[in-house]
Amino acid sequence: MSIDLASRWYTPLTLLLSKWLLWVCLIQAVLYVGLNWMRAELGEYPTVLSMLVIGSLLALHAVSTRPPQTAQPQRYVEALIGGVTLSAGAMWGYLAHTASERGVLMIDMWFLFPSMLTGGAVVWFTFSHRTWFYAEHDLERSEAGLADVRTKWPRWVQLMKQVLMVHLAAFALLPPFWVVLLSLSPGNGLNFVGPGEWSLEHYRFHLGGDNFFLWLRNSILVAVGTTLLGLFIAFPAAYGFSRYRFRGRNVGLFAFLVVQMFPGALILVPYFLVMKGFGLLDSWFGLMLAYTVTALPLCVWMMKGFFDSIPKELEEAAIVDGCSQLQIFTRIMFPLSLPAVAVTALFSFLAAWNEFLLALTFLSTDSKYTLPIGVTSVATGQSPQWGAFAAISILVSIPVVLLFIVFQRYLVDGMTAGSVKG
Amino acid sequence: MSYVRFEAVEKRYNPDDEPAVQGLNIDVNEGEFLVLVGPSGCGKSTTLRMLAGLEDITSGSISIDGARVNDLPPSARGVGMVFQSYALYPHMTVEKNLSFGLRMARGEDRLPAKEIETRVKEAASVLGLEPYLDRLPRHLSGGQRQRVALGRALVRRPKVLLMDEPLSNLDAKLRNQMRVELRRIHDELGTTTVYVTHDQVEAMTLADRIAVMDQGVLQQHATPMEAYHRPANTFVASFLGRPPMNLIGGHCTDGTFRSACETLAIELPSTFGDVTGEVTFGIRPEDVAIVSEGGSTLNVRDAERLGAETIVHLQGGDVVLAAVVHRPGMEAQAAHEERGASIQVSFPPEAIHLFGPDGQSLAPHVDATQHEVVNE
Repeated sequence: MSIDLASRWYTPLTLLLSKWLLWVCLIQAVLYVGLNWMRAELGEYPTVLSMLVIGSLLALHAVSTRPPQTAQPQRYVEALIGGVTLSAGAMWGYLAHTASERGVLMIDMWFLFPSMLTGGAVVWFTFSHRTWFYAEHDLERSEAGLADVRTKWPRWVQLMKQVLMVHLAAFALLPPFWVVLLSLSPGNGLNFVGPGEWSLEHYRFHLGGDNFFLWLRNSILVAVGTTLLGLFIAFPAAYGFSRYRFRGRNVGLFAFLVVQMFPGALILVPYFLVMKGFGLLDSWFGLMLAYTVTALPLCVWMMKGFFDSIPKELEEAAIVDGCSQLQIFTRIMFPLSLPAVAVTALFSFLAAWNEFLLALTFLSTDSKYTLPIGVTSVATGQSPQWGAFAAISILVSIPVVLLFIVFQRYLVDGMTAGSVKG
Repeated sequence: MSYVRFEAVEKRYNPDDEPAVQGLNIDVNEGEFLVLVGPSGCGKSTTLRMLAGLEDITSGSISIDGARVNDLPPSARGVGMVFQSYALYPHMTVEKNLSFGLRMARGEDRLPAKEIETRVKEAASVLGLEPYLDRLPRHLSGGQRQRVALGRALVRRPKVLLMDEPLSNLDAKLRNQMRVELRRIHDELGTTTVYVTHDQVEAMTLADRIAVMDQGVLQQHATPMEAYHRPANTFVASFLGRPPMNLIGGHCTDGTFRSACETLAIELPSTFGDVTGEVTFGIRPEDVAIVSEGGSTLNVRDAERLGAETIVHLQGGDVVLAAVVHRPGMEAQAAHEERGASIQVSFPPEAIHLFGPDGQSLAPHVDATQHEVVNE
């Protein structure tokens, strides 16, 4: 009994590639259908959409089932028809959009071009591997092909993954990129100019004036105050929840979460009344207090989780070594939980830095505004200054980006803390 | 050197629960190495933690050098402790780990920085840790971490050194090395030591005396050899020794033991006097003698060949016995190792143990000269 294992498992490199590309096209087609449905445009191009889906499914079936052991002309034809359908569908969609009122959007190109190219590629690859579909390749050829696949395929996969990821990243990066361009374009419209005409006038406007630095100072004050106050409360609270069993422990932990379940706008009015009662309206301290309360639940839960992962024996060793409870805190627990502290601090800081609604409600004096309120005040009013708005948005995010870069190492540690043994 | 005394110590985690430890009386002599041994959940760790001051004592008293320490904080008791997981401070170097306890001391206990340094150097040299003083614990191997944990306890020159299963996180080979090392360090320093383990080999080899515990109750407090050769009850008899002592239920009449279904009838030595009624007959596997004639006939059920010795499992009626045969040789496929073979065994009178219906040993039955008993 001779077993031709090689030809039983051999699929040419380009057909493997087709399979991969076709999967991408299929997923894209499904997404595109969803997108069109949401834009209520489904009715206009049902043929195009079904051609994309059917074409990729057909070709996928033809190339991705097991290598043919007998001549399978129907699979050969299936692959060809699939490829052609896919390509034609994409082409038709593109032309239909060009002719339509709204024209071709970037998103259409994004979805249609890959399908167009893939369809063509599949047809070409199928042509060039006719013998594979007819099971005419000999053992030697199959073995050489298998070896080829083994060495080259992983690198191809790597490349394709990266291409895919760049596309996904583009979705996240485009809006900020757009804002950067806007901030560099002179004038206060929503259009941008080429690199040659870039100017820093909007940045100069903010950095030269007083308001920006005033708001920056306010924001830093409030954010740092919130962070310190939050840590000061959250650290011992989390320690208590982690280490001791007491009546009301579970209720307490749950109550923290309940507060988080309400939308911010709902607690706005009660907050306002409380702050009014305390005479803390239009004051930074009132704002800090409110932010701390908002950020506290997450901080406590996060740090509790971290403390849970620090073995109790470590504290017992410290007790035997002569530490007081306070020394256990300062000498053992605090240095060990630095990653968690960093994450919690950053979280509190960010929450305070970006918060808008409470600040808008509480603060009434211009000079006490925090940055988010200041940013909005630029873009609202009779004539919104989009360029200036974009510039100040960038300026506001710079400190946050810097913080992330500095704390990056701790962040990764802190996020994965639970899974690593002390 | 210091001594420790437990008097009627009891521990309940909850007032309504069964006590974790009850009626415990143990004394540890100056410079003695005491091993608390027993199955998991027997209260040995609780006992150690009470001595360390990490658990409250429900009733009774614990004293070190005659001074009651029940209500003293751990750091005031002068104990050093080695934890099962080592519990090294991950963010401190070996040197800082070693010196931490000394640096924490305040008031009159405070040592000058020079002295702290000397002590750390000293401990590091005893334990062979000098090359690693600047490393963090995570960059050490398991055995090195173990040494650091020991060093951290020793550096404070504790009156009593406490160890809670210190070897259980090491692999088998390292465990054997460290076991020898621990005994060497103890002999060198002579620190009174209390050591908790569930491993009988550690208990037998390390201890001057062992305290066998089960379900919160002390079963026997004696030298390892005495506990092995004169077990106080069936628990100790089956806990110490591997394979465990053969225990056969039956009854005694006219100086003869008969197993429940009368498969075995064994004449008892006269030292047992006129024991009658229900008893448990005990004999260690290595004491079971295989004889050519005149013994009780049993069938071989299985044989485990370990090289130096072979454990033969025997069965006859309701009686199941293990016998250890030494050095059968590679070629010698002795008849008694064949499955199903029928062989005869006899029980040397001086090796016979008898336990009453309550499991307690009946009478000192062995002439002390028969077995070497290490002097206390």
